[in-house]
Order: sequence, then C-alpha cells, then structure tokens
Amino acid sequence: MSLLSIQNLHASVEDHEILKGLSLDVNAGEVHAIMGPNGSGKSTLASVLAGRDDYDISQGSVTFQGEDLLEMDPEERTREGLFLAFQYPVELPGVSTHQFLRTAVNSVREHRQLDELSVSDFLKLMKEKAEFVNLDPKLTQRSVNEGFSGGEKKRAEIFQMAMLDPQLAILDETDSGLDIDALRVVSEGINKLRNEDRAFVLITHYQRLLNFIVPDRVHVLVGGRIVRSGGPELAEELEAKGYDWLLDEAGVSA
Amino acid sequence: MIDLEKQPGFLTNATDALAGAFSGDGAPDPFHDLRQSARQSFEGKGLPTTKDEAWKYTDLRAALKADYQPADPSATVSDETIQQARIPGLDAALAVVVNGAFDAERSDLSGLPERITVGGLREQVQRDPAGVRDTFGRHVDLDRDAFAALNSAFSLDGLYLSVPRGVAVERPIEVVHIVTASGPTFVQGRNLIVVGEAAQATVIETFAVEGTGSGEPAETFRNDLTEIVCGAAGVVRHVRVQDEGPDAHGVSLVQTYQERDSDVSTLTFTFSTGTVRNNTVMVPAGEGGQSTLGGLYICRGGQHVDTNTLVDHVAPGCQSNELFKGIVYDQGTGVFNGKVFVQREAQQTNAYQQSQGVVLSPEARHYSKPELEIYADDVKCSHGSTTGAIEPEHIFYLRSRGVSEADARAMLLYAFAHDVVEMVSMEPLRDHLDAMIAERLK
Repeated sequence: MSLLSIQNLHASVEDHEILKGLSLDVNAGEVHAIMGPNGSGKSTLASVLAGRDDYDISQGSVTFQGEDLLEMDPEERTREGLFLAFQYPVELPGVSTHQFLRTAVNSVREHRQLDELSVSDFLKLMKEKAEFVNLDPKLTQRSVNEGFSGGEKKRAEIFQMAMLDPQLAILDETDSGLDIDALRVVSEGINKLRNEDRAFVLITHYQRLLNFIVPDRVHVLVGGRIVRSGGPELAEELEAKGYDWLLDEAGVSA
Repeated sequence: MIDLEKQPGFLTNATDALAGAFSGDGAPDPFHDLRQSARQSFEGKGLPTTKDEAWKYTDLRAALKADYQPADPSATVSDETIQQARIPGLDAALAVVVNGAFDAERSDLSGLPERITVGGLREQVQRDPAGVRDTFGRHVDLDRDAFAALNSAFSLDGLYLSVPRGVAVERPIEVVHIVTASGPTFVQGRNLIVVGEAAQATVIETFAVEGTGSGEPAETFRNDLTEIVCGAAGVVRHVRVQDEGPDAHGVSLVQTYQERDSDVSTLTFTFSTGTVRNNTVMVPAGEGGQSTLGGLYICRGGQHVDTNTLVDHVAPGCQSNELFKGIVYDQGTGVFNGKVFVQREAQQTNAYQQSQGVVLSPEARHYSKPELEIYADDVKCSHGSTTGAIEPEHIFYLRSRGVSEADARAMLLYAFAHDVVEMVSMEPLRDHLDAMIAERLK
C-alpha cells in the first residue's frame, strides 16, 4: 500500500478547474519532485493535500496511510503524519513560538497516544531539533516568524517539520526566494530528515533544489495533470529544455 | 433616572446633600460657583442622544432605564469584596472607595512616602480648599461633556492624591471602587491626582459591585471623572480595570493635563460590563511632553463599549502614542472614536494612533472613527484603523501544525489582546491582565 495515493483528482476554485485528473503514488522513504510551470496547479495540489478549504473536489480520491485524507480537518491530517511547509509562511506577531510549538507537538503526541511532553523535555527537543536543522535558537525565542528573513522563514518551516516528525512532508516551493547559501542550508536540513520511513513531495518550479536533494522520482505537472514521470534525469532535461516542449505535447498553451 | 421631567427633585435633593456634605464645619462649599455653572451646563445640555455626532453609536436609554437611586456614601462593604477586587500579587497601597466615598478605615496607605497626600477628596477640600481649587475641575471642558458637568455638579467625594515636587512614589496606589446596594444605583466617582514637578506616581483603579444580603449585584450606573494634573518632568502611570459584570453601566472621563517634559500614560482594560462609555482627554500642554493612551475591550453578550479619545496638542515638540484594541463576540458592540488635534503652535508634534477591532460574530459590531486635525505644518502624524475577522490564513497555518481550530483562534486572539498589556510595566498587573484575557476569550 502506498503511503499517499492520489487517484484522478479534480479540484477547482470558484468554478475554475485547476487539477484535472491528477494521479500520484508515493511510498514510504521516497522523495518525489513535482515540477511544472506557473499556473500548472502545483500550489493547488499542496493546498488540497493540506486541507485548505477554498477548493472544491469534484472527482477522485486521496488516501494517506489507507485513510481518506479529504475527509480530515487540516489539524487531523497533521496529527496523522502529514506536514506542509508553506511557500509563504505567515508571521504571527505576539504568538510565542514556544507556546505554539508546544501545543502543536502535544496535539500530535496525544493523537499518537504518547504522553504530553514536560516543559523541560520540550525545551530539550526544541534545542536538539534547532541544532539539527541549523536554526539559530534565538529565532525560537521570538514570535512565530515575526521579522524573519525569507531564508529564516523557510528554515523555521524545516525546523517545525523536524519537531512534528511527519511521515510525509510536502514542501511547497521551499526553494523560492532563497539565495544559494540559504538553499544549501535548507536542503541539508531536509536531507538529514530523509529516512526509510519518511517520504517527501517537493513542489518546485526550478531544478536547482534538486541539485541538493536528489529525488527518487520526478513528475511534470502541466495543465492540472502529470504529463510525464521519470528519474532525476528528467529534472535535468527540463532544466535544459524548459517546459515548452511538454506544454506542446500536452496540448496546453503556456 | 436623571430624567428631570419625571424626577424634578433629583438634582435638588442631591444639591442639598452636597451642601451638607461639604459645609462640614459650617464653611461654604468652596466649589459653589463651579457646581452652579456645572449644573447649569448640564441642565442646558441634558443627556446626549444618538443625534449628537459624538454619541452616534451609543444609545444610553436602555442603560438608564432602571429606577436608579443615588448611592449611599455611608455604606460599608465586606473585606472579601475588597480582596476580590484587588490585583493578585501586586504590592501596592490600597485606597478603598465605597459608593463614591473614600473609606479611610478600609484603606491601607502604609509604605507611601510621608510627604505625599492621599485620602478622601471631601476631607481634603475641608482641609485645604484653596489648594484643591487650583486644580479641581480646572482643565475639564464642562460645555463639551454633560456627564462631566453632572459629575462636577454633584459628586460627593473621591480620591485625592497629591505628590509634591521631586517625590517619586514607587509603590503603586491601588484604588478599589465598590458599589454596594440592594437596588439600581447611580454613583459618581471623582479622582483628583496632582503630581508635582519631577514627581512620580502610579495609580491602578479596579471596580466591583457587591449585592447586599443574598441578593444579586444590583444594576449600577457610574459616572466617573478622573483628573490627572502632571507638573514639569513628572511621570504618571494610570491603569483602569473594568470588570463589574453585565449590569454595570457607566460613563467615565479621564482628563489629563501635562506640563513641560512630563510623561503620562492612561490605559483602560474593559472585561465584563454593560453599556460603557470611556472618554479620555489628554492635553500635553508643555514642550517635550509624552502622552500615552490605550485600552482593550472584550465584549460578549449584549455588552457595549464605546471609547472616545481626544489628544489635544497645544504645545510644540510633544509626542502622543495611542493604541486601542477591541474583540467583539455575540451581539456585542465596540466603538472607537479617536481624535488628535494638532494646534498651530504645536510644531514638531509626533502623534501616532492605532485602533483595531476583531469581530467574531455576524451580529457583533465594531465602529472605528479616527480623526486627525492638523493645523501645524512640521509634524509627524499617523493613524491606522482596522476592523475585521481573524485572518483565515493565520488560523490555517496553526491548524496545519496540528493545533485545533479553537486553540488556534484563542492563540491569535490572545496575541492580539496581549499587545495592549505590553504597555503596562508592572509584572503582577500584566500577569493578572493576561489571565483575565485568557479567561475572557474562553
């Protein structure tokens, strides 16, 4: 059984269909990259998987660990082991990172029938994970993402991911807006979190992220459908040739 | 109540009571003239209605409907009520005011510097009429405010605090106002706070209503007036916490007047109340003054909280900083009307005003009206006003980390409200306010 199984997914927003029959299977331990031009439906896929409610699902199914994902509230998905790293993480002035993450971690633990973490164990965990993903511990003393640079926000997302220990992480354009150094740091964090149980779906426009994180599978999303799948070499081909040839093949105009 | 046609004797009776109260040793009421003109001003104006622009969103008729009787200034209250009204863990001197009258016996003014004067306003008037006259009612515009006129015409007593030049009172003074009555009660409180040159004082006011016997707390209507007069380079910190319950209505005015280089802050936190109108007027009248005003109101049920502010920049080089926030649930109403005047002489004014309302139910209302009137040309003024729901994207972000929707909302609202608590410097008071916010948001 796949960890994540998406079958013939159709999703629209305000009567405008964006995903038009998308299918994808992800197994535990795999890293999948979903690439595609702007407007192909990449962020919609991430949003639908995370449970943003602006979308109508007219057809298809998504199962996560065999359960119907689309029936779950966003928090339930996370507690079940799904994590979305946002393309644009929001700043929450006044919401303390400590308090927020402690509530989050304990919500997930409660769901997994684990004991609530004590304050000292929680602080220990936070310190450990911050070091693990190379996040300046000072950032965890502040309000959630408040005044963080673009790179710091993305790194904080990876840190939160490490804290919540998901089975499946979806990274929505985590590479966008990062310079090469920040990209390297973020990628290192992700690579460290790779293991045989955890799967990743990397959603990206550019191939450069895949220089740092080598995927098992690469899929090209065009016009709301996956039009081609392959190994890491497909990403290089896209880098060299752009998306136009696939748009033509798929009969979609850019 | 105070319907002069229905109750023609209300004001006369009150006048007689006052004349007796203030003549004490037989001396004439030193405020006879002020009271006369205040009374004329009130009778001329009558109570405001929603036809007055400044009262557009606040209709007092329902709150004034009960058959209010003047509060009995000789009433006593239980220690329990006093203790319950105090800020837990705050090391402060205690001034108790019962039904508008200072209660010396229940107050504990130990630990304060000897050179300051703190006690009942009525007593102080008898002791030093000329001294009180210098400041009492001096800066309040009775023609602008019928309730201030009513208070000035008929208030009996209240708190008097005077800090002489150069004395810094480090110990906060906690003023606990309690109304105790068996039926609907009208009470007027009056505070006069005079802080001298380079002197400093901190005053925290809390309010409570005690029912007599086994009865539920009575419906109350307060009409309070606090005057703060701060000398050059003086510092005043003033905080009010209103939480008397849904049957407690009222109108209040905090009027500050500041001389050169002084720094005055007045903050109002409104939790459970009925229909309440809080007016604040700040006048930084000397160069280099700093005026800070702010507040938080969390309205539930049919609660109505109207905040009306005026910062009148009459002198150059002053700074004012204003932040009000409201959270409105159910059928509640929040109103913010903040005016900043920068007079022609007030060059190099730096005035900042911010008001934010969060509306959490389709029947809840929040009205916000910032007004800036600037007549000087070299000034920095800004104002911002937002009213809306909680950002869905913020809730989604928290939920996507496993936090329940209810917890996500509570976290965001708490953060929103806590911003105003940041303006308070005393740790135990901050903790108390945070706890009250958390409780009120449940």
